[in-house]
Order: sequence, then structure tokens, then C-alpha cells
Amino acid sequence: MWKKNNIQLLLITVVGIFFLSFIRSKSEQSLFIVPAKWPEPVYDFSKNKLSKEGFELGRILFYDPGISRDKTISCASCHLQYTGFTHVDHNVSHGIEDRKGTRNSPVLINLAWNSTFHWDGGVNHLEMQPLNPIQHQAEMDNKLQNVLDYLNGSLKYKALFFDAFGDSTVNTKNFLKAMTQFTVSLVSSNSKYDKVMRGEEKFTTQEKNGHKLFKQHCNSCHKAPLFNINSFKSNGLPIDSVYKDVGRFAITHVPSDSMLFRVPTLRNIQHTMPYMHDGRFKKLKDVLEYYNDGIDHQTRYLSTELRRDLNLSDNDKKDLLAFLYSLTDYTFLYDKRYSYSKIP
Amino acid sequence: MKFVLTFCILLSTIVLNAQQTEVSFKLVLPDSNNFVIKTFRCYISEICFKYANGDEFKEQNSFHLLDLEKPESFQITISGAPKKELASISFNIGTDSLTNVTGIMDGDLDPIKGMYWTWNSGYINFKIEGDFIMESQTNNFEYHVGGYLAPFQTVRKVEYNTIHPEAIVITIDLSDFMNKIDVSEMPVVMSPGNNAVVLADKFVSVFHVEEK
Repeated sequence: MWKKNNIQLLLITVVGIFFLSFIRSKSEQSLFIVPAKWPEPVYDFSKNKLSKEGFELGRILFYDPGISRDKTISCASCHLQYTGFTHVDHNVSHGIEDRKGTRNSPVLINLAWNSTFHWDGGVNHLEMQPLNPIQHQAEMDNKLQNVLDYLNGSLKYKALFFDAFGDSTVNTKNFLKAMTQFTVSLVSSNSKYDKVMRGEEKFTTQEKNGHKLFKQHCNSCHKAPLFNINSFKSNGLPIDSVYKDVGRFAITHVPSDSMLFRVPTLRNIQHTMPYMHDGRFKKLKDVLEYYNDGIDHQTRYLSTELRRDLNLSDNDKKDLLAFLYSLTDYTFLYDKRYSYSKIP
Repeated sequence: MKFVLTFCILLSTIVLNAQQTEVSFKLVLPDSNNFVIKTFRCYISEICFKYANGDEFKEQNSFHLLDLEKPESFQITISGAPKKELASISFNIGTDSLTNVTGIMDGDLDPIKGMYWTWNSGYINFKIEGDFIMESQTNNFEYHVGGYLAPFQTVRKVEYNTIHPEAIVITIDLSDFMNKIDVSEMPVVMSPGNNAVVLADKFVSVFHVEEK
């Protein structure tokens, strides 16, 4: 009689555990939703299963200046949500002690679909990216060991890490996995453009014409729905005199990679000025003028897509700008789930 | 059921652990009148035993960081390799390209070990730092050799014939290495490229298996 009860109890427990784990995996799946008709993400979620705890921990870390050497610089210092998670109005960013960097802060939008990171693609996996700003002397100027010591010295952080990973000892792996659970979740797919594509709204006449022009002149590299491709291209920018940035060549040392840069996304482009790897264009209008008739078509290794002037009329330019503005996603820019958070 | 499974795993672990093979690395340091080695770290990965009958045994999760500051790291204990007539041992000096693109890993591959480039993702396959003395002047040299992108791959796969299944000893002759390179011409190599490839080629040539 006792044995039978025991077996029944065991069975109920096993079924219960199975049921609960099924429920949990369902909620994990809903944490990252691939928008309808979008390509599959590049990021391998199987090695870092998203959880509410992991995401919230990553979010707290993102906004914590304690990660920097002198506790003044957080990720959000150069990646502000309201401006597409970039450092608006700065050609290059400044970090600790007002030290200036050498490149324009990229937007953190739809990173799950990127195969490389940085303007030169030097980072090949999203999980490894935080190591850069943490250790860069002009950004956070800290050592990885200091960060781990800081986190392990906080009972609250240890508790959060335990909730997320079942281990209260903070190590490199769990720290980076937590950060990635946040950054990979920053998905922008609800701009006016997206709503039009879903049949929920209609373009204005200007936007419609702008869309037509975009498909004709821009879409091969700034390909919908991500509005970028995982490629390096040269748009003929002459090398700058201050940083002498050679782009992808610095990574590969392959001559034909000279002055090639990662194609950035155009989502939320209205709010992410200035533009290009060194922020040399303050206004979107300036970018348009450059592509229209400012490119030196003799530039070595120039992208084959840019071999001719666009010859846009003034009205065409206005329409194209109107279309680019339709890529602004206010849901994303003001989504409270991605906003400032700190240790409770 | 879980209890039975755990017991089986425990039992098999005990049984397998009884079959252990030692792979040791021995560092030969150069004459301190010419060179002083201050840092030496090197990844050994994908250790594989090949047997006379054609069988193979591949170590799981095979990543080891040899570190001059940790003498115990030069002794690698491999569990579970069958005690058959051994024909050869093969391994990578460094990490393969897949390892370099996989994202965050732990153990000896943890970036905290100081063997990972952040700005140009990838592992430093081996690191040798120290002083060289020339005409009574002491200068520094620093070699951080890595890179997995073509055409500058610096991982090197080696295979040695060996006939001692229990204890395999591999010598890394740094004295020979320092003599093979012109350190005054090239005292610093800190990124992937031609120079790193040159060093990787010279480095692999100073590995030898000890025949007792």
C-alpha cells in the first residue's frame, strides 16, 4: 500500500516537472519572436536560452556604470535607447575621463541578425562584444577581472545571477550571456514601414514614391526588412585625416578590403545622426547629397552598386527622405522593457 | 530510474578514469645570457590518439592552456583512452577556426586567461614575451600569435609517431625557436598577418616527441 502511494507520488512529481519545464520553455520562446516573413536570426539561441531573469539581469548590467573603471560609464552612455541605442550628435563617442574614441557609435538594433559587429566587423560573435568597451582605454578602461570582482562583491548581483543561471558565482561566461540576452532582444520591427507592409497603414504619396526610389537605388545593400546586409562595402568615402581609418582592411589585411565598412541598418535612421563610421555627415540630407552626386566613382574597391550618380530631382530627394523617416519605430525607441533598470 | 542512471554514470566514470594517459609537455628554455622568457602560454587542442589497428580516440572538449606560471598545466591527463598499441598522437598547436567563431566559452578558453583578442575576435594561439640581450643592451620582445582568417591562419596541426601508451612527452624547444627567428628585426607581433604566420611556422618546428 505504502509502495503504491510512493510510486504514484513519484509519477505525479515527474509529470509535474515535465509539465513545468514545458511551460517554462514556452515562455522562453516568446521572449524572442521573429517578425513575420523575416529571415531567421544568425545568433545561436540554443547555447544561451533566453529567460526573463537573464534578460532583466542583462538589462541591469547594460545600465550599470559600475562596470567601468571609475564607475561613471555604462553601456547606455554611448547607446541611448531614445536615439536607437546610439550616441546621437557625436561624431565619435567619448568615454571615461572624456577620452575620445575613433569611431561613431553604431545602433543596437536587430543585432540577432548580424554576423559581425563593429564598423570593421572585427567582432564575430555578439557574446564577445562587451569585452571591447569594458577593456578599451577610451571607453570603460577596466579589466575583466575587476568587473567579475565587482559583481561577485554584490550579494544582490549574485542573487540575480543565481536566478538566471543557477550559479551565484559570476564568471565570464554567465556575465557575457546575461549581457547578450539583453542586447540580442533589442528588436525593431514596428515602424510605419512595417505597419504598411503588414497592411495596417498606408504610405503617403511622398513615402510611396520614396519607397520606389529606395528599391531602385538603395535596397541592394540596405535590404528590407533588416535594411542592411551582412557585408562590407565601400561607398567611396575618402580616408579621414584624423583617424586614418582603413575599415575592414585593419582586420583582414586583404588589400581589396581597404575602406570597406560594415553596411549599417537604416532603421530609425532619422534619429541616429551623425552618419558614417566617423560621423562625418551631420544630416541625413548630407548623406543623400553625397550618394546622389558626391561619390568619386574612380575610388578603388568602390561598391559595384554605386558606380553611377543617382541624378535625383529635388522632389525625389524629399520623397526618399520621407521614406527613410518611415523607418522610425517609436514602439522600439520608447519600449519600457528596454529602458533604464537597476538592481532592485 | 534517475538513481539507476546516476549510479551507472558514476560506475562508468570510475571504470574509465582507471584508464588514464599522461601527455606531458617539456619546455626547453634558452640560455639566459641571450634570452629571458618571462611569459609563455600556448593552447593545445583536439588531442587524438591513433592506434596500430586503425582505431582513433579523440579527447572530448580538448582545450588545454600551457602556462609557464602554472607548471601543473604542462601535464595533461586524458581519461578513457583505450590501452591498445598506440601508433601516433595528433593535436593542434592553437585553436581551430570553429573555436574562434563560437562565442563565449569557459575553462581554458575563458577570455579571463588573457589569450583572447577583443577587437579582432579570436584566440591568441601562443604568447611568448621576454627580454633579449644584444651587445650588452636588454630589449623586450612580445609575440602574441593568433589569427584564423585566411590567408593568415596560425593554428598548426601536428602528428607524431609514438610507442609509449602510458606516458607521452613532447618537448617545446624555445631555445631553438629564439635562434630560428631574428628577434631584433621583429621584436613585436601582436596581430594576425604575415609575421604571425612566420612565427607559427617556426614554432611548430620546435615541437618534438621524446623517444625513450
